[in-house]
Amino acid sequence: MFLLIGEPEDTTIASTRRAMVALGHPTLHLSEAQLYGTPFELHRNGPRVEGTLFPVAAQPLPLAEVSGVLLRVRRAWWPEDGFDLPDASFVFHETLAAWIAVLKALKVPTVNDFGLGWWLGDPSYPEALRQDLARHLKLRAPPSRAGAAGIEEWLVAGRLVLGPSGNAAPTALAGEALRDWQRQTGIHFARVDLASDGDAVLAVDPFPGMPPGPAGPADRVGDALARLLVGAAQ
Amino acid sequence: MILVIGSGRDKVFPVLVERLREAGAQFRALDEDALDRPIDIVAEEDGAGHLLFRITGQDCDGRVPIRAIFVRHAVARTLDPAVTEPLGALQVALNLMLLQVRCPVVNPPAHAFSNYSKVYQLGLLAEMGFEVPDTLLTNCPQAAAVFKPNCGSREIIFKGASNMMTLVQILTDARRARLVHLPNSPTVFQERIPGEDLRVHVIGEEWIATRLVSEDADYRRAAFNDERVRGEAAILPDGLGERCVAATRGMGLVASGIDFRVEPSGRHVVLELNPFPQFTFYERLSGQPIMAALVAHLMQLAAAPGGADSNLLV
Repeated sequence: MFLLIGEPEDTTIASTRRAMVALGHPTLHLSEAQLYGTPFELHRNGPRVEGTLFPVAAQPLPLAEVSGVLLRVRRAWWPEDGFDLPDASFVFHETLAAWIAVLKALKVPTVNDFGLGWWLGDPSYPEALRQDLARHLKLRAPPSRAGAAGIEEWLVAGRLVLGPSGNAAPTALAGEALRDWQRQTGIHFARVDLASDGDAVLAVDPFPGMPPGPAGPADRVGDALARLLVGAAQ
Repeated sequence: MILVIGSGRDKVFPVLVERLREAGAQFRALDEDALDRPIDIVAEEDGAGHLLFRITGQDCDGRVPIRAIFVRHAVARTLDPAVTEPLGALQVALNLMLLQVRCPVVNPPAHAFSNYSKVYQLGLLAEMGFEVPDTLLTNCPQAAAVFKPNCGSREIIFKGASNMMTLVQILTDARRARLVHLPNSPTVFQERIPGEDLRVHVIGEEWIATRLVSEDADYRRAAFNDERVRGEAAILPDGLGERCVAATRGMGLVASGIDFRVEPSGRHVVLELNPFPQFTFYERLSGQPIMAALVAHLMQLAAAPGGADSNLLV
């Protein structure tokens, strides 16, 4: 079973789900609020971990039967009414920390397997990714975009690299260095902004949005992510 | 020159500043809670395309190269946006800078998140080969009700799942009635390891072990309640200190406070690793030279060869 976590209107969730179905793999889709409302148990005994999710309106799902995860959590959840602000803040952090433990305990392909900095909304997290990618690609990471002559936005989904107008992937994003960065950071789906002269990484967005519709890149990205999850799980 | 970043309201930062002064160290201190004394951080590219940071404000004039940094961010003691927003903005700017400074940072904030999720961190420590308690994390009353640790006779304790302050409580029959509230907030249930509490502070390559003795299930509660907590120097079994150093380094940290329970058999069971320990609390209880070790380490880092290549001026 592949877990797809995110809002139904999220283009990446929808396109990956279509591709998973086409490939014949079962999926369980949960929105962010559904995830945090799902009863679960996670039992750690030494290095051994087991657990079960009990999704509403679905069969209990042992964690051992989860084959991969597409994580598109908007980080917009907040406890429902009924708590005062300090209690709501406490419940928020306890819930988030618990689900980080559950999702990190799944030793399965995860797109994206975000660091805790992302979960906690640390603004230095994407900056650390940018600098790390620049090091891997042997490019510059200037302090701002100000000096760049132009910017090219690239969508990276596993081995798929899509340019703004169907351009071929630049050399920097076509090599093994990008794969190394993906493996090391757990970020397989990202928007990478390069200076148009190709010598600098200007931004990395590890949670890129995609326009819906057949003319956009959604289907190709969904197909690439589905194949990445399935292929890595096999 | 050492840069110390923290809060005048904290228990560690003012003591560290005082001890650095007593030791004759050269340092600058930035107090994040001194909002009336603003700090400015500017990043510029030097001629070779490298980043150079300048901090001005408080005691800084942006001209002195820094060779080692200690950071222990202020904690907002209110949810008032008038306080949290400027403090948050300052800490973001500092963290972005700390990603790119070339001198050692004790501890890099970007590497210090793992104890936000206690059970996640417990998994990391288990993967590093430490013994960990039998643990259940759940929001399910039924699962908690039937949880029985491997050593079935042991008591069960419960505590929070995040790094929000919670004190350990024993799951007594009376408290079992509260399990119905679990769907509101996941909770950690653990076997209660019999024996003594042990805190190991790692500072660089060194470690200082402190045994803590109290009647309470959580010695911190006893301390808060002004009940007696005894701290005394402890000896670690062969290899455990080195493993604590390796675990700290493995998480990208320089210093840590690692909590263990030590069974009467001598089995050491790890509970968590704190990236921002309350060094002074344990020093006060035990009289061990924990802050002196921290000061010595910072001075050693600042004097290390290669430190001249600083890209931070204060």
